[in-house]
Amino acid sequence: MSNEAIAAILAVCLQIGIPVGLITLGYFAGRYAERKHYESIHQREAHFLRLPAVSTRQWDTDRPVAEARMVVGSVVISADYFKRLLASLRNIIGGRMRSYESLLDRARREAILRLKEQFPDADIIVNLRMETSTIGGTNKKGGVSAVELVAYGTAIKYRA
Amino acid sequence: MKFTPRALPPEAADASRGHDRHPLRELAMLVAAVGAICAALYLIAVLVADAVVTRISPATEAKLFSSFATNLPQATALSPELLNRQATADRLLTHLLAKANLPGLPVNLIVWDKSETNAVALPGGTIAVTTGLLRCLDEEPGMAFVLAHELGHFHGRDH
Repeated sequence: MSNEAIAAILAVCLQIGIPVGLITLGYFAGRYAERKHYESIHQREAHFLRLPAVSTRQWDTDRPVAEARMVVGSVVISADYFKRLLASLRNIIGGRMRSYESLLDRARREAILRLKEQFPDADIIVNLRMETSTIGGTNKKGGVSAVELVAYGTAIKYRA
Repeated sequence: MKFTPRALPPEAADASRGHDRHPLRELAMLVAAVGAICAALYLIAVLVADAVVTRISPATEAKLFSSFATNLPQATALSPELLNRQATADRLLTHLLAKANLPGLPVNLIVWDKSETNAVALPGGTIAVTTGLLRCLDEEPGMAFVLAHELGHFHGRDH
């Protein structure tokens, strides 16, 4: 086989191999990261089950408050190439972007957990608010697709 | 109201976290759907082209596709022998055209500068013979055979 033919085959292998490799890496690494993250989320959620985080502005105001503190939890989770492939295919025919839903779910639960971890001794977290921000353009070419979420609220500790 | 701590059952959370379908199954379904759309578009394009092409008259065809011939690299400096063969081909084509029954399509011959042995009938009524073909066909019947074959494409409107 001539050198030119070998070079052409190599070029095709690189052109197809790099995206396929990235997508495969994204599939395995992304699934591993997601499984680990969900294990941690389930464990910590069970631990913080006794501490409610609610969006209400009215709570047991009759009870004397020992301490009130603002708590914030912010999370940024990146999408992998596999999720991006699923999302871009989904973009063509429409419907639920399942691959991104898990990112949002993880970000939402992780943000609340981090917020609770800031004041683990609190009795209740009230006035809970959630916001998304955009630090990586998801649509622009070369932008980073990531889910960013900020949760904040007021942690209340009643006087014993 | 009293707060009762209650854990979310894992299966209830599956839908909200997008895990009600395995990602590889999701990929397979999406690829199948997009593939089906592409195949349908391709099929429609083929059917539309087939329907349109047979309705184009030879005169319109000559007007629309005359640029096909000028886009080919044409041979400029031919050897005297090849020039002689080109002249023979031109003469043969004039004879064949008289009997070809191709009304409305002006057929002309060009020499395509290509070493490969080939001849093509282009849309717009141009027959291109390659320099490689001129080099290897030294007998009149052979050239007549090739030209008649290409004229057959124009006659069958399948060029």
